Amino acid sequence: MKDSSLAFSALSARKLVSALSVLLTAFGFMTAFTVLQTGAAIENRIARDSRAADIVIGAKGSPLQLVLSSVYHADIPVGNIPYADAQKWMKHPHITSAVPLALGDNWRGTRIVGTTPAYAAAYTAEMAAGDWWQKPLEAVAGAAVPLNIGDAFAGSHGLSEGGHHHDAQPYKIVGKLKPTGGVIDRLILTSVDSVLLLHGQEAHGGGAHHDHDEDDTHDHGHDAEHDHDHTSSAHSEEEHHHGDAPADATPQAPAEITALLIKTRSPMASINLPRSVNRETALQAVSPALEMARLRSVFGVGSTSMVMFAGLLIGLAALSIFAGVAGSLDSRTNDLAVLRALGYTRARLFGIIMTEGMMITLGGIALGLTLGMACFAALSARIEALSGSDLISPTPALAVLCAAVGAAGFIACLIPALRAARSEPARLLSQRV
Amino acid sequence: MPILELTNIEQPLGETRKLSLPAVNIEPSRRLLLIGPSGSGKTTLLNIMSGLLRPAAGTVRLMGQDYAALSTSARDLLRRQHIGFVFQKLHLISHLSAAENIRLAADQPDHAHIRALMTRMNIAGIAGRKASQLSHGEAQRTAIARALAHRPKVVFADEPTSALDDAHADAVARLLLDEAAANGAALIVATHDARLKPYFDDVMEMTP
Repeated sequence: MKDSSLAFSALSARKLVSALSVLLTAFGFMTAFTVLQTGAAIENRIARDSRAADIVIGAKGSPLQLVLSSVYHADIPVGNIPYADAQKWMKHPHITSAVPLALGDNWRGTRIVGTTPAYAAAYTAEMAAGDWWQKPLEAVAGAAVPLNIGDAFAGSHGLSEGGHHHDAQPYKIVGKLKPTGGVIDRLILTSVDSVLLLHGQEAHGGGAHHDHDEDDTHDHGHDAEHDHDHTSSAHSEEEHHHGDAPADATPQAPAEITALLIKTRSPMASINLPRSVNRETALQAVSPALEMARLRSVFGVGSTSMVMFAGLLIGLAALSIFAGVAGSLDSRTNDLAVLRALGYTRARLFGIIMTEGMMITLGGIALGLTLGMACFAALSARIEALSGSDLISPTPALAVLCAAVGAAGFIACLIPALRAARSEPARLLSQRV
Repeated sequence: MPILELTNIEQPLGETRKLSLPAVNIEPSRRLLLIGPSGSGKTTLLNIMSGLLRPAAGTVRLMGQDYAALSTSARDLLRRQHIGFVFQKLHLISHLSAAENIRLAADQPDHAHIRALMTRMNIAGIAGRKASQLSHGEAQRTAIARALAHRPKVVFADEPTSALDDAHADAVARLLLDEAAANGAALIVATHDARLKPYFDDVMEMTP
């Protein structure tokens, strides 16, 4: 009889305890796996979504807000900047590409982004059907946007539902992008001119008179997002009065955009260019990587706590394995002595008990992995930031987790296995009825 | 050549008595009954013969190999190869089937041999039944089959009939003798059960 069969049979003989040990191990593994997988997915998503920009130039204000609003489309913009000022930086010799973003409108909560086709190219988003816009008020829908070619819709002012509708000049979808798994999937893209047109601004940054200043107050009437203070010398998109302006108004305000996404020629340029912008202009330049690292340093505390909690669960699982295996030895003293009498060496008995423990451990890892993937799939279905992520990412952290749980199981079995190896067969011949 | 050779064995039995055996040789065909009351040293002698206990003095050789010269694991392997045990309390592993218990004795079991053994002992029909579900008779025959499954050179049986009535004691004694003969193994039985004396020509009386 194979030793592995003997070990499995011994585990089967105490199904409840074995199952409990496997479950405890699985829960520990599942928790740690889900934390790691979620972290990895968010990291991937952050990296994927920020690949369009080494630097973001926008209005002065919160640098994190600028990154979140312009790169991840997860916050309201800090404000607007004159298109003419932005265009100066678009021609800077240290940059390889510069993509303008004009935000301010949405369709049923989906952001409408005034930009150029270069924005989609930065995310390697390909056209699934149709083509890019040729004239104002033509738009291209991201893969996750429930609009198809030929659909017409009116944008609403603001970045969430409930704003003033630009009913007079609806957009028309002329292209649909393939899925990328990134932020672009849930955006509607159009030309900058379209956004400027709807907001009564002069296209191409004509440098016309600017009639707002820092003390301006405006009656928005859109939603809560629009209530923030206007502290920048540039102008908050949310504070512009253009929500109430007629969509077909003659452009008279100077052209403004929300941000400029810049790819630099070198890492050095990514460091120096923001310094120049911040020192020499009224604009703000920030590095998305730097800002997200700062954000992670805050949320990292939370994920570290979860990993520590998972470690605690794994420790408890190891104790459970120890208790299960060690506890069974008391009732198996004779069985082990019989095996010794039948010529099983101490090393072989040690191996059999270790095999039992490692079967529980590996069973726990396999079940924990399955449960973890199911758990992550459920999270992905409910949390947009995780959608489209792989159920399992073969990261070094996952390898470390498997090794840690395996090592915990191994250590938990050591003492019982050593005890089993010391079984004394001579006592069997001394037992009387 | 003897299978088992014991020379000048001495081993304390408690504080005042000791077991002394000048020389005992076990030949392949030998059927030896060690008989005596409790405390006479039967079990101690079985432990010494099987290599489970190192005597205070003297030499024990199994198949020409001195136990004292072997490592613990080498002694285990020698025992696994050449010795079969029938314990008084049988000690079948309860969560294994009868067949699995028998196969425990051999790393590379001769399945034809084991099948023939089980058929002869009338336990082929209960091969898949868990040991915990066997009757005492079935368990006893399974234990004897386990002792012979790997074609050992010598079988040790410890009090194999002590809890049995006459009819069952007779059956077990005959089974042990017949199967040891059929498998070419020497048989050494330690007992205080005088009913076994008539079955053995070679009886060693042990006194406390």
